[in-house]
Amino acid sequence: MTYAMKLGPTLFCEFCGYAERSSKERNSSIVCKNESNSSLICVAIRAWEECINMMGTFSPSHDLSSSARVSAFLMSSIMKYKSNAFAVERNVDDDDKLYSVINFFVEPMRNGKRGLLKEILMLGLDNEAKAFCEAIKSAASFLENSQHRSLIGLSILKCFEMGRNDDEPVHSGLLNVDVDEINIGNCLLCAVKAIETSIHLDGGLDGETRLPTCTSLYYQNSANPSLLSKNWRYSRKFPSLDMSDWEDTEVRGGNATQTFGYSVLQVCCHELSKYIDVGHAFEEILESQQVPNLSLQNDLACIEVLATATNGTLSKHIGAIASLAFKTIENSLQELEFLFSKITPHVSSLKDHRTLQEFIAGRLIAICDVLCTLSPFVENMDSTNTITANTLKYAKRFYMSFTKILLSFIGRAVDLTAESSNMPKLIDMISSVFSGRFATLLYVVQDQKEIGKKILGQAKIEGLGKGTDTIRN
Amino acid sequence: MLFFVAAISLVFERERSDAAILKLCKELKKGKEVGKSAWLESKLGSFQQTDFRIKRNDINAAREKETINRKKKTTTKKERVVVISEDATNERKRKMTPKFENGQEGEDDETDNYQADNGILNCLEDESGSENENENMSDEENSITREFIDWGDEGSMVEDEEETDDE
Repeated sequence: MTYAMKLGPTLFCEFCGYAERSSKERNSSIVCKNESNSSLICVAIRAWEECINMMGTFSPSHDLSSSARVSAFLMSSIMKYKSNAFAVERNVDDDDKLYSVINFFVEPMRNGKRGLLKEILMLGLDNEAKAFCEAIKSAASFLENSQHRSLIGLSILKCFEMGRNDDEPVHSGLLNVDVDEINIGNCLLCAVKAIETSIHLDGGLDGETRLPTCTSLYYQNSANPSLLSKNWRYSRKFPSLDMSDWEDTEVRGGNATQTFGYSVLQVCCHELSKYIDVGHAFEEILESQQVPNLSLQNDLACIEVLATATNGTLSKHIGAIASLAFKTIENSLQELEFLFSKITPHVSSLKDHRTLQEFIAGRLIAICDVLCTLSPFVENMDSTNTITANTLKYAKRFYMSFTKILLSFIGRAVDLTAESSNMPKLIDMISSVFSGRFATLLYVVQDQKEIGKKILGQAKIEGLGKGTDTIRN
Repeated sequence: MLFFVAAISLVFERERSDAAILKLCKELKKGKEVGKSAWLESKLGSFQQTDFRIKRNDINAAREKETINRKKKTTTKKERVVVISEDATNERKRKMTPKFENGQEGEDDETDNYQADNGILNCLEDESGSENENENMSDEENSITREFIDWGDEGSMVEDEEETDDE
């Protein structure tokens, strides 16, 4: 930890010095792009990131909390480069202090000054900006407050917005960047990384679900082994296994809801759908159904940057974002399956059972929304139809979880239709949108031909359907 | 193949979720929550309104076809049992080979489907908590299983005879 504290600020200074030099070179029209220097700087940022991780590592014997150590590290990094760049806020708790320092890096405009990430993007330093995003992701992971994490992710996305209010005077930030030309359009790698980071910090597909509150600070330096193990799980962001933690839940979104109202992934998928053609089979369905337009108030500039890339790499970037979406869906489904198999059987009290059901239903709503948004476009996302097959697989797993949660209501079926519950909303969504979309997608798949043969056997599908129909009778 | 498996399992899981909703509907009806039950059933209705709904006429036709095929199979197996009991190993080998020669592809597929359907039924019955699966079996199925048991016993007897001959 001591070595990290010594080495980290020096690495950060190297990075900032390189960025400032490249800014001056750009202004004096001396273009001498040195790739070896660039890769060395990327290595320096990665080493700086490792220092952040080392500072935040859980150590019960240390007097300071993880967030206090990381914020001290980040502040000393800034101070080493410019002693008067950041004013330390007093009388705030550790988490707020860390949030404030990270915000200094990622906020596009702060007191009339550009943020560091925005400046790097304006210089067009794509690889460096990508590595910096990764470092910010590591630092923000030590924030206890999930709303703060979400807001950091949103600030990263906002850095890609090019427009600004002309009335506001803009001062150069930490790097003294004075570039009129904006090179954000060149930062494609960073745009993908920014989306990944913000999805991660937003908690994947938490959406409107309620999560147990983080109370790790209360267990610091405890001699009780059970509390220490609980603290260990919290420090690594594992879900709590203690049902008493589920009583005090917080609504996901918080301030972020005021910006989007949905999780970042949901908004990304809706935004992505602007740039991909709808499949033929879905045209009529989409016309008849009222599709919510989430991007009326907020456009995601980073998706626009990827879609309007001049070198014709749209399909590649779409594939990258689609794989991000599937990875998040996979994580959410795995989490639900973990809850069904490991936690639900051990829940005895009715109240805890209801909380778990609500959590699962909230997650399922978010997954349902993302799958519904993607389904009309998957046909045109790639030529090999891998994305279509993956979508079908995830839809199958979604139905598995849905069946399990329905069966968990047997014996208390009245609770299923309670107005305050997420279940009526989920059932409505599935019956009105999800079911129809995937029936259509199955027809689309049926029409796909491989070596002159139909891939999907209608007789087989009806055969399986027949089996379950006999049960009904 | 990837599509094939994914699509089939998707339809199967959807049918299972429909079955779970029906169960809840029944429970609500029992608890005299008719309005809530109707609401839930209306959601099920919209599940079935897709193009993959089950056609009952086709199912009845398929059932009739399957029963005819099973009757045919039982008669041939009875004959075979008699022959085996009359003669020993040579006859048995001769009669066993036509089973594979005569076995058409369609018949194999049907038996496979039948077994697959049975598997699904068993899975669902397990979940629905139904017991005594043997009670639900039809007379024909019982007779087939009895024949198989008889055939197996006689086969083992034939092998014993062979051993004694060698000695």
